Amino acid sequence: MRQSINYDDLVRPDAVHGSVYTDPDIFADELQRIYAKGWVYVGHESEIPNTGDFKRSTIGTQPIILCRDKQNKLQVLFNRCRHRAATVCQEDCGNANRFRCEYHGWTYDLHGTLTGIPYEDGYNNLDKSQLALSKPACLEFYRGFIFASIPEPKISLQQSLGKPTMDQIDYFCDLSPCGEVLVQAGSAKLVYNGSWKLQMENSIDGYHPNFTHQSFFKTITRMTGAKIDTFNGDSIAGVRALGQGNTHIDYAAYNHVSQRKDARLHGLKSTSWGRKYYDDMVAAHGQKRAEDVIVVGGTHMNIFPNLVVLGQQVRTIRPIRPDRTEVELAPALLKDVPDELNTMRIRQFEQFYSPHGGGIHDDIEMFNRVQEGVQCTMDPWLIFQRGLHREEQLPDGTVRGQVTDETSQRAMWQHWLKVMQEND
Amino acid sequence: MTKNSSGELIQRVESFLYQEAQLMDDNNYQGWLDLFDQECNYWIPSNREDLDPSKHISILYCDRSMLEQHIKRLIEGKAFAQSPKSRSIRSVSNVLVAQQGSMIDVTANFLVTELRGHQQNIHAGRSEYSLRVANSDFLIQKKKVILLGIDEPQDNVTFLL
Repeated sequence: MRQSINYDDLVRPDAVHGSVYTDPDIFADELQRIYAKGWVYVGHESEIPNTGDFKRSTIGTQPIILCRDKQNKLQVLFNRCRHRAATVCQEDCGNANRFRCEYHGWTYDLHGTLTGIPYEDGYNNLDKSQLALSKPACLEFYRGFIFASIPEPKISLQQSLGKPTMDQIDYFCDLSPCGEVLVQAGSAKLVYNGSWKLQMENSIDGYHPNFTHQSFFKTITRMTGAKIDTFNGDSIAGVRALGQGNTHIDYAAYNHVSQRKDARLHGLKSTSWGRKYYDDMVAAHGQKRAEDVIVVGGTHMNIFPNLVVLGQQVRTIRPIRPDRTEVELAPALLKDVPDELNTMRIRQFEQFYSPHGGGIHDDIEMFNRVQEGVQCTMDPWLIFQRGLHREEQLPDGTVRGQVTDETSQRAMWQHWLKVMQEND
Repeated sequence: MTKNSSGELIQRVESFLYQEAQLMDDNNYQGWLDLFDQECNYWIPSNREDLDPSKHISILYCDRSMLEQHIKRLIEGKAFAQSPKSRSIRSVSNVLVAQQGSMIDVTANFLVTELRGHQQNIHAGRSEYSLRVANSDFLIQKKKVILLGIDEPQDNVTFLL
């Protein structure tokens, strides 16, 4: 049996040991302690709007089917036949009224109940009622986002998210006048040769954009004339630790500076569809909230361990191996808004996030480089010290740093450490 | 599809496609962009159902000005997913040509072997073109690239397609 790992030796307040990105034993522990024991994001309600709709996904590396049953209830079923473990659903998404294992013909309904065994008289005392597809103990929802916990959860989803995190999800959803987003415009799927934590660290990293994404910012400047100084060392944008390892890039103060705020609202109201959207937002949320949500522009956040809600998109991170990760990026359309606005969100998404677009692959390139770099084990510590001396605790309990500070990564890693120790 | 097209036209179209393939393999971004008409559409869909690109995401969906910006970004050399650049060799085959008045519709299969970061990848697909005859040559008004792995998780596909 392998020696147990002392995680205290791997995560310091301001540094992380390189082995957390490479060690297969640590990866196995992560699947057990993080993914198989806590709340994990599994999908959005709008992805399966109709009875029988299903989507395949994973909890850690465990295959699941997310589906909507005949009572219009959402189900998460493990995609593993109770007989001899073959997957019972092969398509990434679709509509079905049952799941049938094609190996020996065992059949399950949309609740996972075992409804058919071929040549059943060959079994003696087999209790079919005990052989439903396995399910996580608990599913909970927040504004259409579905989370699963494999064991009975120690705390509710709302406690796990916490108010600052839910406030940010509200910002994202309230960009729709009726408060609903629709994850129905397809998705871009990317794979890279690196640890899943690299994508989590990067999603809320306000230090890298001016360097990794300089070619994209130059393009924006060329197209619009706008000079992007959001991520400068003296920017008033910030990063925040929201609690429970959830983290946030906070553009509110930066975007609310009067000339930016006025330009954004004026630009929106200069088209007829933009004007209609603005009026609908004000009618639904009141002027103050509507303008705040539009100006801040949704949110930019991580929800530990595997969800990113950012700009116009919902991003799911799927660990495959210590050095292999799949990322699914899906634009969220806004319900009850002019078509022009949703088409614009789709085009903006593609410009940066599509596999042929101008942004995400420059990030992915860096993950590949880090994963290669950490093969060097001399001086193994990665430095996450930036801004430690200047971060401040806010009255709501969140911790804020300047946008280029590593406050968010420190918070993620401290939570990782806590979970890896507690869930032994 | 080819019954209306003369052998000479097919040869000229094939020659045009081979030149395009060579420009892409050479990472000659500006040369490749120059093959497109002033009004053009470049589309790499991401689903097999041919869903409306105004309601569904694509791998890329560009008009002329977006395509220019996309190419300029690659030319400037700080697009790190292409630093170092991919090396590639591609073959074009199964060329079908149909003339529709002043426009020529073309489909062709491609197979590109791409090498980057010590890793060799193979991508296959079919491209559909609408070409306009301009002087003695062609300009691309529409290009749609249908990858075999259209809806699969993508590795780095930031080289020209």
